Amino acid sequence: MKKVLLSAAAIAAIALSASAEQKIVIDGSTTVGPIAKAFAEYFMAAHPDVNITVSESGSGNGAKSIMNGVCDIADMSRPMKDSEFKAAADKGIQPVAHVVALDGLPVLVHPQNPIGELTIEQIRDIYTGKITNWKELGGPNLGIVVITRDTNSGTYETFEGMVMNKEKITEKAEYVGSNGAIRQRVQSTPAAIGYAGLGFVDKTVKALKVNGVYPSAGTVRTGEYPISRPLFMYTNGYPKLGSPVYQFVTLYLTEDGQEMVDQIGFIPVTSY
Amino acid sequence: MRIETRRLLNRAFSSLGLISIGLMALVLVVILTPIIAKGSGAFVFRSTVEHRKLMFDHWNRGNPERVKQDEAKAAVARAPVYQMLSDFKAELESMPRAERSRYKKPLRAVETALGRLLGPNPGSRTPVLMRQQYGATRWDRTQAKLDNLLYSEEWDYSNPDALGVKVLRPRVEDFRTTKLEPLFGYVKANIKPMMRPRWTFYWQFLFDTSKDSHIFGGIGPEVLGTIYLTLGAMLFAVPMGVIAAIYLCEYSREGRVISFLRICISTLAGVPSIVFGLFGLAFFLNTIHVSNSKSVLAGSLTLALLILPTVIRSSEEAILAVPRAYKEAALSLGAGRWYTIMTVILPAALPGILTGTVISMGRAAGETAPIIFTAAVSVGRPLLPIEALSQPTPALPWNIYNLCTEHEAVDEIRHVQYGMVFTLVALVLLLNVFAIVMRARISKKLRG
Amino acid sequence: MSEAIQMKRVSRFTGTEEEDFGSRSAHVKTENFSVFYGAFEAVKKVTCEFPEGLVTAMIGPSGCGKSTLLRAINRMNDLIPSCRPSGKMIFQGEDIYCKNIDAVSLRMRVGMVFQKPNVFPKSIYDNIAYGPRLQGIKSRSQLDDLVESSLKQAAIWDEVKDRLSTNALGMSGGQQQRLCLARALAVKPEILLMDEPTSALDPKATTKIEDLIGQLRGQYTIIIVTHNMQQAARVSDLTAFMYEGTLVEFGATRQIFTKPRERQTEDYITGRFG
Repeated sequence: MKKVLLSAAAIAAIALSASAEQKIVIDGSTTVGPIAKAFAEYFMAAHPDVNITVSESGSGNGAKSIMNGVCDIADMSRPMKDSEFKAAADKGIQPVAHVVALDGLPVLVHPQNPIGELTIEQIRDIYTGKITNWKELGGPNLGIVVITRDTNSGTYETFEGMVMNKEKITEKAEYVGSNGAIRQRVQSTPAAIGYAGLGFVDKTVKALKVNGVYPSAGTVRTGEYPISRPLFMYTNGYPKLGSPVYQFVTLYLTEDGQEMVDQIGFIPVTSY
Repeated sequence: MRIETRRLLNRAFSSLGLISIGLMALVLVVILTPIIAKGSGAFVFRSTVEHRKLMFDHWNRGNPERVKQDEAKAAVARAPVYQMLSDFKAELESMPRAERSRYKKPLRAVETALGRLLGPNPGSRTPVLMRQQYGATRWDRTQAKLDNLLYSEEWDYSNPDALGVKVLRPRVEDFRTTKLEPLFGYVKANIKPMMRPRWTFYWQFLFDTSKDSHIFGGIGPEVLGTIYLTLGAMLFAVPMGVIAAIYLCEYSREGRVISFLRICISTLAGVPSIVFGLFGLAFFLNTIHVSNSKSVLAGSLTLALLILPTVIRSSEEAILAVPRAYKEAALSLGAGRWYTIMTVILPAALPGILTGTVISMGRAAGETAPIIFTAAVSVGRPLLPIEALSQPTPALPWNIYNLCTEHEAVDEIRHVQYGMVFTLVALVLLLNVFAIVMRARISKKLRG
Repeated sequence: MSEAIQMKRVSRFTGTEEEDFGSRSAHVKTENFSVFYGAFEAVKKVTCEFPEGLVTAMIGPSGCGKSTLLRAINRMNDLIPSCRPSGKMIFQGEDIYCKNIDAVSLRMRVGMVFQKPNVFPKSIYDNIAYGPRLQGIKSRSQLDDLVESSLKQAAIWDEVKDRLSTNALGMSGGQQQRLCLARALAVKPEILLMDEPTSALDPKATTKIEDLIGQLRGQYTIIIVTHNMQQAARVSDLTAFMYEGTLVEFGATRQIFTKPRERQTEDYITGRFG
């Protein structure tokens, strides 16, 4: 009886360690999510023995996850902050960044909204609460519904850094938890304004020209569109050459990887 | 009280009861009808030839001969479309440059819309993203995509004081007098032979893995993940809960400590589930490291904590409801406390314990917040039981939320979302029915 | 009436003309035995002897402490948290409330039948076999024999022998009570306590139980609490009358019912109060 138990335990241990090696856990940004999910699909088709799980909980949570050692790759739509680096280093984690794509940050309104163009200053005034009605911008007489991402989001921090210029977002703003939720809120509210990653723009929302430039792969790549940022995947240390994590985080360099990034709506790194 | 008043009060009360029951039934119908109607759309729908191609390519389903025939017939119907396209492109070559550029953008839009409807052009390179490898797989999506091909959505902002108005402009107007003009009429008239819709019962939806983050395939990993999480939670919560209940009822002496404990348990039952989720993250994952990432194990433990108070309370009540006479009888025959509990009290309390357990099982299956940080992911493979100890899993409640808020192609996969809701509701319902039947059977056995 | 006199009288129990019950040895005896529920003294310093092999009936108005005294004999009162005994309860030379006495093994020797039939929701067979299994009897044939003999002793064998595996709750109340008796007998106790065993039964079933008590007389020491005075008169050799926690009179049944010594006893028996 004891022997049976022992051997069962041994088998379990072996199976456990074997299965533990064959997983890649990805957590973080909802913007990078679609890329990670497409990569995961592609990677698992080629490596059926590896289980890749992707969760989309926001860049901040991605950073926390990798700090705590509970994920292998942290998706982030902003670079890691010094404080995060420090906290990670304290726990013996060395975050290494891999820039997998470039993303613009289109400002979205409902398609019914006649406004087609805003300047950065106007957007800032809307988000600080100085401008509260579309009428002030030449639109219909409608109170502006300001939608923003939660503070855990990398998209939020990008927006704050590139548009808000250290000014505070109005207290009336509505905070939502993901790019998809921003789109959903904007597509159902004619008076809304929001922002999301390029890959989330479809015909149910209207992307505005900012400073006269329409956000597209072309204008983001050339830098004409003013709000853009790189998208990251962070690993703990540089992954061992040839390991599944290495193969995964270098997927964006392959032709197929770039096609995926492009087709999802982001800009592959080698094209800028 | 006068007899008339009494009668009136009685009548008022009974009608009030009737009204509230009726209201509940109505709410139930209002909630369940769309769930069933829309949810069944994930299982029973009109599939197109693209769906059958997909099933054959990735799951090896269907008779190869017939799939080939199906595809061939569709290809015959589609051939004129591609012919018209290439004719038009040849025509473009011969146009003066200025005119050619006028057609550039509309043509690209038409090609994109056509690709979404029919899949990639025959002979072109296979796209890497799976969602681009197939056209519309469902007839309802086919209709939407056909509209998208035939009309371009434009917005009329001519009245600056009001909101814009949506204008559907037929794309055919962009291509008047060109060789592409007949394409629109042809596609509209021949959409059925091109797509070959057929009623399908896609029961494998329950078991298939999802392909390309839920755009194709089923919800197998989610269902399996939910089952793992629920059973895992039961595995921890039921023994702990029943033992705690036995202790509270049979061993503990009423006193301050025990009543304090009872208050704690009641309070625990009222703690919001997200608090359990955060606790699970902070304790199981970040402090004692039950696994080196989110895992079914961590999620199960968290869910177990969530339902533990319910299990304790229902077990306690079931144990207290066992007639004292049984206990006395056993003791008078010389049974010790433990023996009495095992042979008399627990068997008699079993129906009650079981009911409480299954109801909390339904709760565990449906909870989202506790598993967000401890177990659930957007995409992942179905796990083996041994892998559940160390790996995270997709699970129905979380993925329903994820699909409707975070997914990049929400409108394409509404049916998956509703299918998940339907499955989850059905799962919980089944559990409850199971509980009722079990309870009835055991009570009947006990009653003789 | 002073306590000393009363104690004297009952401890030196006097026999009747037909038989000198007093010459029998005491199976259980109490000395200054009291039971408290919190501060309330339900049984007040009772001293008496229950002779071996006889049927003793305990009568008295509701709340007089007779059931409490009965349940003290096999320590069933232990279940009630606030219940506290004092004085001595001596069973075969040992005080059963001594620290080194195990209540569980005591109860195997002192069986009990309760007011309401309390059969387990199990099969008839399992009900009877419960006690023997507890004592470690596992062999099927041994159990079968025990079940049969116990059921025969309780005169219910013929009624249930064809449905031993059916649920005991399916039987009638009278049958259930006899099954409880059989179940208690299967443990082979020395003393059988009966707490108003027929109060929940119809007259016919009552008669059967009373007949059984008659048959078991001599083999077991039986102590029965009853509200039914005719029953006490019919089945018992001795009768104890309790009132407000004190043992008022204890004597041969015939004597108590024909010429009670105490006024209170007489009042109760003749139905003037109670």
